[in-house]
Amino acid sequence: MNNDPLQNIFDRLDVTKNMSDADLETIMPTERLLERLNNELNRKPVGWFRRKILRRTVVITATTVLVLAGSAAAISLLRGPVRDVTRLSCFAKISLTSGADVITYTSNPLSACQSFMHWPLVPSGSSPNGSLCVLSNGSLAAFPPSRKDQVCADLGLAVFDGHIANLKVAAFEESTQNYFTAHPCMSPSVAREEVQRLLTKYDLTGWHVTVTGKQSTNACATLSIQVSLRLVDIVEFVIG
Amino acid sequence: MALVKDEETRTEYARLVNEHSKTLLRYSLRRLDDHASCEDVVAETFLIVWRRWDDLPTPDKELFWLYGIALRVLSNHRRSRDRRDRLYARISFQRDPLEGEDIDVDTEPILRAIGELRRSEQELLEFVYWERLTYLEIAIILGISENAVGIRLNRAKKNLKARLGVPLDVNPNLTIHRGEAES
Repeated sequence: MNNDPLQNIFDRLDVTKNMSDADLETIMPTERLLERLNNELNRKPVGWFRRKILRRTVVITATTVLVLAGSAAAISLLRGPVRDVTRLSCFAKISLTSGADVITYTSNPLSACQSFMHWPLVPSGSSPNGSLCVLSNGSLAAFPPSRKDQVCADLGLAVFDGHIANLKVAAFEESTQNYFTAHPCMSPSVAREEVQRLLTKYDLTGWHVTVTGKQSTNACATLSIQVSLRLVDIVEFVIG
Repeated sequence: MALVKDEETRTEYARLVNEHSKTLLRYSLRRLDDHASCEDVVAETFLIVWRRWDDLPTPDKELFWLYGIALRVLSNHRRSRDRRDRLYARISFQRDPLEGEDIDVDTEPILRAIGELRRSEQELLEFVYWERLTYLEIAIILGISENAVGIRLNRAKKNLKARLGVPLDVNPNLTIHRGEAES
């Protein structure tokens, strides 16, 4: 036994002391970890899905423009709310390819990133405290101070508009979009059932689900979520 | 973020995960209260590794680099947890008991004394006594000099002894009973 009493104390507090690698594998199988990492790294951002919807639906109807049409992309490049308050990405430089650390935050996100990243200050810069943008996954990103006026726009990101989206609605939107991404051609009726199931799951009441299209037998479904109207419009489209 | 990487990088990344994930899991289990959180810390650490792939050091230093990332991930996790339960965090040692784990009442002063140390002092002690790292290795993780590690560690020990009010060079009569950890 080690003579250092602190070593003895810490040894006794070490819950892994008697755990073998096999025990650890039971707790966290490497295969599961790799699969999780793979899923996270290959997860397509929301923006990609919206662009995909846009391409498919622009030929069908002009009534479902809010999310699907180009205006959505335009809006997203200007200002947007944050839908994921659990993560704040602090970027080392004004570049999406620069290193970023994801942290949690309780107060001013820029101050949190400043203390975490130790950004160099730009005394005469137009954004001396840094810039807050919204990533395509709906989370907040902070970039270091710069003399540039439009850091977010230059990066193709929305400027944080100071609002945090209704989290239940955001979760519903994300789940819906994930589901539709995973099922690129499901029938409108199935889509409607799924949307209604998700509305129930996220405890969203007072929402309407409509189906727009000609009820073609070989139609696929995409959707438009109009949060302000509490409306989910399922839109038919036919490939080819 | 540059998520698209070549096959060689992906293979090397998988090697890194296979080689060090268990070590990082041990690191997390020693400090957190549930297995799910520990797995989250390990996963988040490796996700950051992927984003910072260009900063990957030489193999002889990669574990310490991983520890450094895990340290910050864990710190963020704690901040999040502490917001949920500030009162408990204030009186507890940073690693809460595992489910089913029973710590003898006699150890409470020691746990409290360790918990009252500055977080940076706790981390130093943990790296030394749990991970069994050398001053040089800890210096790499924390980005400070080896000498600074020694000074801070001595200060941490001194503070701990002062809080305990008993000399630690006398073997304390500790009994700690642990139940079965969840599997």
